[in-house]
Amino acid sequence: MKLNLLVATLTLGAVSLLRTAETNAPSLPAVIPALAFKHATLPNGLEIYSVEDHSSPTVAVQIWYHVGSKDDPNGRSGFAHLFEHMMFKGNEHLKPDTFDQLTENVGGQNNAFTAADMTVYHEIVPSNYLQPIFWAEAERMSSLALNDANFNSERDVVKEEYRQRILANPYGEFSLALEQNSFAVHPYKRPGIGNMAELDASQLPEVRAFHSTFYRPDNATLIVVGDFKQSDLDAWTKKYFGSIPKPAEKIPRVTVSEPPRKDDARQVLYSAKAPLPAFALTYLGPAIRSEDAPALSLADTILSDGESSRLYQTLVYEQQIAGRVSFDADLREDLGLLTFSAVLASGKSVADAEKALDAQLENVLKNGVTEDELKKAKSQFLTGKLRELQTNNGKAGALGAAAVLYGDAARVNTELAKVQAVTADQIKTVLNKYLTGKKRVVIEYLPEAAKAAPTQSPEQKSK
Amino acid sequence: MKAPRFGLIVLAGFAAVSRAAYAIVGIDAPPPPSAPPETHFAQPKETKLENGLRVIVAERPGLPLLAAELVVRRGAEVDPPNLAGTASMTGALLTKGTESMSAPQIASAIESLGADISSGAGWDQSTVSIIMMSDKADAALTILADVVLHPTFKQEEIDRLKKQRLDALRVALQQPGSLAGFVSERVVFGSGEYGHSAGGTMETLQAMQRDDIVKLYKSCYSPENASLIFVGSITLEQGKACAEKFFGAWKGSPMAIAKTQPASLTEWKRQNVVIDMPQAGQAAVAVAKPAIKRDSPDYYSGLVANAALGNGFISRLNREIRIKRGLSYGVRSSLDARRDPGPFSAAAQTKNESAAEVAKLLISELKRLETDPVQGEELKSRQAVLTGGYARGLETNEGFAASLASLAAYNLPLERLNQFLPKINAVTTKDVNAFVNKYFATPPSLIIVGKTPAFLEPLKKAFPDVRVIPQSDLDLNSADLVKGK
Repeated sequence: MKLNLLVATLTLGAVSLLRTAETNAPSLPAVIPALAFKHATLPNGLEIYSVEDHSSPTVAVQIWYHVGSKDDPNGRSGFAHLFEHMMFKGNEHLKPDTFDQLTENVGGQNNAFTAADMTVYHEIVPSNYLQPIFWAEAERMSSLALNDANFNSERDVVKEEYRQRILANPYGEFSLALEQNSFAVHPYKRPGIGNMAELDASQLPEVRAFHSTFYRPDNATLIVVGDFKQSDLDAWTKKYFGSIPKPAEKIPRVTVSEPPRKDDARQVLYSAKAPLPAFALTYLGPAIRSEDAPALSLADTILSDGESSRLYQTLVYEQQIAGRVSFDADLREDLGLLTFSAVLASGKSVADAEKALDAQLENVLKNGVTEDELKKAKSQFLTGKLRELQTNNGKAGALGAAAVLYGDAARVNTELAKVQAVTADQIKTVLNKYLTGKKRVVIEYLPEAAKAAPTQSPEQKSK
Repeated sequence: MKAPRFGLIVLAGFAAVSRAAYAIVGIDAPPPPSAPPETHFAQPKETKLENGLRVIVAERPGLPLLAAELVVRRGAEVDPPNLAGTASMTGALLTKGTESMSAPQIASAIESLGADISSGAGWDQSTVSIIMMSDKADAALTILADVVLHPTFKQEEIDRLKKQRLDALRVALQQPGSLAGFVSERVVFGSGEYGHSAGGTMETLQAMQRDDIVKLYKSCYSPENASLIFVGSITLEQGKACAEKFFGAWKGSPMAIAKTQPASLTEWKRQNVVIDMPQAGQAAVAVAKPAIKRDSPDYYSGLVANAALGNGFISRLNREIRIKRGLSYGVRSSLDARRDPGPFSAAAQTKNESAAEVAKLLISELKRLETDPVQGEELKSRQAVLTGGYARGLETNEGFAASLASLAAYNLPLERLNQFLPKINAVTTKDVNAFVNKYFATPPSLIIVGKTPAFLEPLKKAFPDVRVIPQSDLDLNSADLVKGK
């Protein structure tokens, strides 16, 4: 990275932190340079965010489509993800391997991921390949040419992905069970990877329909960060994406709202593969745009990021009840899920671990967090941000999340101040808001051998 | 930059033409790229302290972020016989207590600075790396030096870490992919220095004593055997001053260490091994054999040959196994060059029923490197895969530091960092062919972990000499892979 690039932005929106340096160690002040992004909207609705940055001769390109696993058609769990795979199969002009030829073959890379609320296609290319990649992205936004052969073969690949992530992994089925049991009616209950039967049931015409429903310029956000001239970018985005029409139909959105939980629930599952018990507690949380998000993110860090975090120090280090433990504040577009989970140490029971976790929850809900813990979490957040900003791709990801998930691109520069402003009292308040008196779902995932105990039933039981 | 070649671009007016037909009116083929940009990396500089510690600095002004890495030129290769995992445990225990700080105090101090520290061992090196904000460097480097110079290896911490590792290993042994990795090491190297599991086995972790760990630490961790690397907004002078301040008092010279002999390449024998894992949700299929040293003159041509075979979405293996046949989520091959000859391997996971088919494809694609040489566009594309990946690895300060640590571990000149691109680009079809003939002429060993009833019959047709070992009989401590005699 070159210093002169940052000079222009350092004064603008930079956040200064305490300095402690006093020796010969290097002591640049810890400031985060603001991302000086440009924004444009094409007449067809495509949103474009860009950051010109010549520190490496590459460009990161991302297209965020506002469609995710929650938009899987009924009876087609896993469809948005299967569809993501089909986006690499080309059309009349776009030969099947084009994305790999324009990225991998010239020293770049490409990939995509499907989340609950969005699907993101991302590339890193040498900067002289920016125009070709725009052309290719515009082509697949416009149309796909599909046939039974490439559909069936790609579906087989997705089924192998399912086997690899879920069936070959001793805790794969545990991870599926979290979402399945935590939501009552919202489509977030359907895991994005889907299931074999519904993948098998998917049809080629459904792929075409999904494309025309969701893959349109007014449902997409283009992020470009790296080595280009802004004037070229403005011309090229118009040239390649400008002629894609905006359909007249409205984009369907999930409108189901998840009701508050009425009861606690407990699901007990057995696995022939898992050598150690695991368990999770979940609570419903707020949507990602909630003003409680920054405090929950810091609570997440204080409770379970790093070896000095509360849950690691108590359950893993001191009590040695668990091998790993986490608290995840997974906030999504419609609502969030707050998940505590642990894989236990040998010889420990879920009852031991649940009791130990409950003691920690009780403590934090009653006494809150300390000023030292708060300061520590803010430092961790700041370094995390700095690390993210080391690469064009990291910057593009941060900008995309701000623009699409938060609906506020400027947040990429204001988030740090929001997080720095959170107080210890606020953390205590939000944790109580979502946990105290709220209904919890417990998922126990036990080695098959535990079934021997005659009093336990593999069926669902209520707490 | 070249001007775009097409003059007639019709914009919004025609936008309503059928979406299904084409997106960009008048442009049916990708526009050509403009002139390629140039890539160059910061030039690392170095100096030495009086105690023998080598100090390497790459100055990369910009973000106020500093990466530091201490690398010691010994790793799991020096694990004592029957004590697999000693170097790995030693490395991990450095951050678990010093003469002045307990494990929780170290974690709390590091995380309060917003820094991140990690320590451990690879095959030929052990590292402690830390990333920090530049203005916190003083406090963070104080801790880095403390964990390297004054670790206490308290019995309580050894016991705690052992338990955690045993539990993690219990999980790994139930995963076909990771189990196939452990088995491959034995199949390729037998009782040689790289034959054991670097992280240890259930038995060796239990048998390991504090003395074994202290002995390894004393033998390997000394300034003459180590390099300290800084990458970020820091000059060589600043780096040297920091090194002097925090590591200047480090004493000790490396002790001779009894090392298991490298496996002899001429004695290596191919074997086809299947581990029957009755609950396997998928089969892991791998081929492997010993290949090259890190300082081999064949290193760069080997990387290109390997990239053609299995590095990237449209490498040969992915084309045949994933794209054409939908048999796997992904295949990759790797050429792991080490101080002594390291392994070449290629691996994929597939449904149990397809294990035999994938095994045959792995072997036949390796064979095809001889009959269908890597040339023209394919050669160019795989060179780009390697150079592009290398450049991306150097984008972050921590990635840059790790690359320098690897050069230091193998005593390679720092100029190699900026020579990687030209050396890869100089590899010719002839070079790749020579590599293939030299190292791949005899077929590799085959290793499968999976549910055998699903694939054993077709597998035996192609590999009649296959040896089946039930998971319950498997012994990773034995060069022969089975328990008892």
